[in-house]
Amino acid sequence: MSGRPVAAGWPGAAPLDTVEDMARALAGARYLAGRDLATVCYLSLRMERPLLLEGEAGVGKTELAKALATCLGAPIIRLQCYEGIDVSQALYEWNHPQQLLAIRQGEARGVRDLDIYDRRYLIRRPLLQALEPPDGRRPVLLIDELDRADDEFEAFLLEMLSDWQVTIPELGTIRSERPPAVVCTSNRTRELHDALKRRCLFHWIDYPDLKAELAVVRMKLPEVGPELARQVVAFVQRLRRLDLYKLPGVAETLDWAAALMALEQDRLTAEVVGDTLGILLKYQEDVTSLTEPRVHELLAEAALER
Amino acid sequence: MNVEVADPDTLLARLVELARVLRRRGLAVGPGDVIVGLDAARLVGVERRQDLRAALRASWCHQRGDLATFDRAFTEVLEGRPAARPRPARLGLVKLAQGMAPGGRGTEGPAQRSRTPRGLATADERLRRVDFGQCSPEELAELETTVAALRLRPRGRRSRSWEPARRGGGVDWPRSFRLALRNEGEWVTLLRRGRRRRPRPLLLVCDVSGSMERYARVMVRFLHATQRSRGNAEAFVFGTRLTRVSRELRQPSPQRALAQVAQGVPDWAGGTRIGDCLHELLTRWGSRALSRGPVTLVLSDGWESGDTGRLAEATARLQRLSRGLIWCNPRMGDPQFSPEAAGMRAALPHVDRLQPVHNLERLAQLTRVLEEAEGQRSGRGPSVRRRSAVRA
Repeated sequence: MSGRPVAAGWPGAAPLDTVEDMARALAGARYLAGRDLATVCYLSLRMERPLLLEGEAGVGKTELAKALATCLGAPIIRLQCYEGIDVSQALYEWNHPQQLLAIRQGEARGVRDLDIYDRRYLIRRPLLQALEPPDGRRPVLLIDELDRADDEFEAFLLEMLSDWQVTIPELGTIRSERPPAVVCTSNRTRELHDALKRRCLFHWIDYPDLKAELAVVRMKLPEVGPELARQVVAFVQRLRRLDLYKLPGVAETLDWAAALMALEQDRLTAEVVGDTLGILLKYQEDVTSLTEPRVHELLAEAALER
Repeated sequence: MNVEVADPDTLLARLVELARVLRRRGLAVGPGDVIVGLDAARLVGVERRQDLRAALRASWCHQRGDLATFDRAFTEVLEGRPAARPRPARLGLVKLAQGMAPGGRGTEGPAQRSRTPRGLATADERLRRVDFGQCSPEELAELETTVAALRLRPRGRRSRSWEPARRGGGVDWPRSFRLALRNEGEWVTLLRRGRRRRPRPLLLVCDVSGSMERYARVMVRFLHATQRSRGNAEAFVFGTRLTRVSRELRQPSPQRALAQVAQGVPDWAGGTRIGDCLHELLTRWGSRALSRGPVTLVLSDGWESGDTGRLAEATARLQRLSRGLIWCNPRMGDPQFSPEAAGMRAALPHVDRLQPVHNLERLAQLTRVLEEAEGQRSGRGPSVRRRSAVRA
């Protein structure tokens, strides 16, 4: 059997010996995970394999990484991917001005064999920090929106994610015995390479059902009244069945509920919905497609859903 | 009725069996994956079927589309009951696939081996101008080998990543520094770097409804050739419903690609709901197919049986999200053609260019149009735009 007990590798962690423990710990970190997701998280920690999360925007992919860090009592290191990201921004870079200065100083003092590629001149970027944490605390590494990076960048990640090592030509191979817990997220704007996917445990996070989403709202925003919370969630659930360009995620539900609190509303009316629709829907076409009669209809339907 | 897996040997045997079934259904689950799956299964235990399923699913699935296949196979193998079968292939496309000319990679006939640019001169001089709709099956087969040889050579868009360059761009400090080190710290010259160019994604949307039947075969073959020559093309076909066929078309063999497309397309040679299908493309596939400024190619005659207002709205949006929207209408081969189909008229204001594709010559021209649309520099107004050639 592979993997060691989770707590052994993570001094600050809650006991995580079963799937139930994992679900409980995540809930303690204010993240409600379904049984499947808890299973996958547990396995990811136990097998020391990266977790690849996909799902629509706003379903809590990034949040999960943060919750995992809380469970493990570990710091989180985040690498936000973007087009054109390369080794110098993700892994390391040499501090060239410092190196030049050292050369000039060396010349002035007549030092002959100066080591320019010393670790002193190494600028550590997130991936290197995750392998060699500066404070010695084993981290959770979040590689966010991996699909935004170029495909070459994925190839570069392979060595890191399978063997927990990276190679810096001037220094050699840097290996970590206590690898970080890795969470990769993708919004599927392109397909990730199979080689990378094979190294990960994959999980698709779906929109939650009414009960689960209500539980999330109650947990994250306890100050929202039960009646309003129920109305808000039922309305959003209805919206997700419509033919819209962009469906609202859980993040939007939470934003909306918080906004309604700020407006001191204690129940949904068509007028309030119309005024705050921009929090849920991010495309003008979607906003205009929800005419007032349509909102009335949805509210009536939502009221029936108990 | 559950299959017993508590015994370790039985568990392994079951997993191997499941992996075998999955492989047959297109998931690449190799021996290494079986070991990972076995590890995962032992860690969560086999008492709870849901946990076991979650563990294996995380180990063996790599994308959302795998999930349904996996769940079906899991039910069959580990719960010992048959799951609902996927629907069988529709006749139309299977016949179409059988009628395809073989090759596409220069395996047959002198025509394919010729290096003449764009493969055009290889086709019979007469065939070049014959309307696809009036070709005999033999002629079509001959044409297809030529269509398969059409290649795009895009100039691409400037990406955000760097590569060494002769001049321009900016100074490549790391390289310059290493060069200076080789010269004992003397900065003899500064090396430069420029933005790398990447081919623009291509979005292909092909109408395979009844009214396009005479042309669809060549069009799908064109999709296949284009998809094969370009890694980053997304392809969809539609009639009353939209089907993504990008994966299927990645098959090297055109027959097998077509057979696979056929399995997935529920409405081959049926009616047309262009507006609804484009709308679905935008909502369901928008983030994937339209995220990096693709050149979009719609192959359709514009016969819309749905709402033309919806079609106009969807086309307008498609145009805004695309680098260029090129609409290919095979009916333009008719000398009397004018864009009279209500759907075509609705879409026309939002189309950057209307291009005829009824014969080989026009199809070859299309590849040039695509390259042109792609190669434009951003910042300047796209030149394909507002230069619509309405008449053939």
